[in-house]
Amino acid sequence: MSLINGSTRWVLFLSASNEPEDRHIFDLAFGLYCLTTAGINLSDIFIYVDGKNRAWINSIIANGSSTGVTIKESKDFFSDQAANKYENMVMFVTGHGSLSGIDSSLPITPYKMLHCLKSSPNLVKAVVYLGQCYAGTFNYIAAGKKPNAQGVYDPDVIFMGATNLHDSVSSSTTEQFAGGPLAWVANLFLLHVFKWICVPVDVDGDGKFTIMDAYKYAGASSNGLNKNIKARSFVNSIGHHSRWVAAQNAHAAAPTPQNQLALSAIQVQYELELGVLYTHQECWILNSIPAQQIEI
Amino acid sequence: MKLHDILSADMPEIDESIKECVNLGQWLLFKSEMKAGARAEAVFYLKAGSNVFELNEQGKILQKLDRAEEGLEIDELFYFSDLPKPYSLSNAQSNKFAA
Repeated sequence: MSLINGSTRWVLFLSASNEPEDRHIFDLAFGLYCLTTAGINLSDIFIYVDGKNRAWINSIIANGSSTGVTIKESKDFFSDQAANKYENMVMFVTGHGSLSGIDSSLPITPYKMLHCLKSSPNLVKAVVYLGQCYAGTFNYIAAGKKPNAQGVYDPDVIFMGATNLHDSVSSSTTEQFAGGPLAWVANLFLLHVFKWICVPVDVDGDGKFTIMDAYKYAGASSNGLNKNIKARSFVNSIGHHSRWVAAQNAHAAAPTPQNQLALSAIQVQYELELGVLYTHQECWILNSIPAQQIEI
Repeated sequence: MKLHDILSADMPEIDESIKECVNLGQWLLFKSEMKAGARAEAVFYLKAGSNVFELNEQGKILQKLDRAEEGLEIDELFYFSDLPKPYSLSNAQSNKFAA
């Protein structure tokens, strides 16, 4: 039984120690749009986003579906998982990450996430796409299924990371949403995972659309784009430097709110271009053997 | 959320670099039915990182909201039709790696 046709809980997840960044909320809105476009029932999609302004979060997520959705907070994910009734779970994590784990009021460590999944009742398979920086901290942990003393197996967990022990790469894109085309700075790896779910590609040619195909597709696509983005960023950063100096001078001569904001705007663009130039990204997959059999 | 395209000349009070950030999706230019700042001449809001500014019709900054975007939501989102927008990182484009 494939994931879409089987008993599968689809999770869009953004935890944050402070307020979440809008670009990360847009990542999940695009994910919601792609999941529903792929025919996944809205009642099987669960969204967790931290942040005080729930109306703001709702207004961005609403771009992913014309039908209203319930958005919970990240802490609810763990309690919901403890009452799980689904056989499968597919989870998409965006937001910030560090050596401490996934950014949250209490950082979510690899062990905490793995323990949560392994102890989820009824769960047989879990597939987790990690888009945050330093996702590689979730690699090299005991994710494969194991029997207990009674011979009963715990869930098989597959982790995939956008990047290893590095920052992850995001870039501006314009993509179609439920209400029209929107621009945001998208997480490259997650963007292509979502696109693959909308339009699966049989990368290895075995006649099946598997989680391994999704991994190879998202990895190769984001790596190819990363190379092109770096070349473009090099050229852009040259132009941005002179504009940044000019904006600094303008602000020094007349420190008005308008000039301050203009300086901030060129600085944001300049920093983004420089950041991309020096960010390496290489995806990874843990527990790859079952991933070759699980079909979308 | 309704989407609108406007001309950069419609907001002469803000610098082109700000409009570029809007079109790149780095910053958000929007209208909200919730009037957080309550200045009578406020028409637009600009969310720049974690800061939110009230703008008048021409884009002049009226004030920075003290409590960020609390209570605001995006009812109408604006882009500038005469300035570049990012291309879609579409399936076809991303498949160029295989060529």
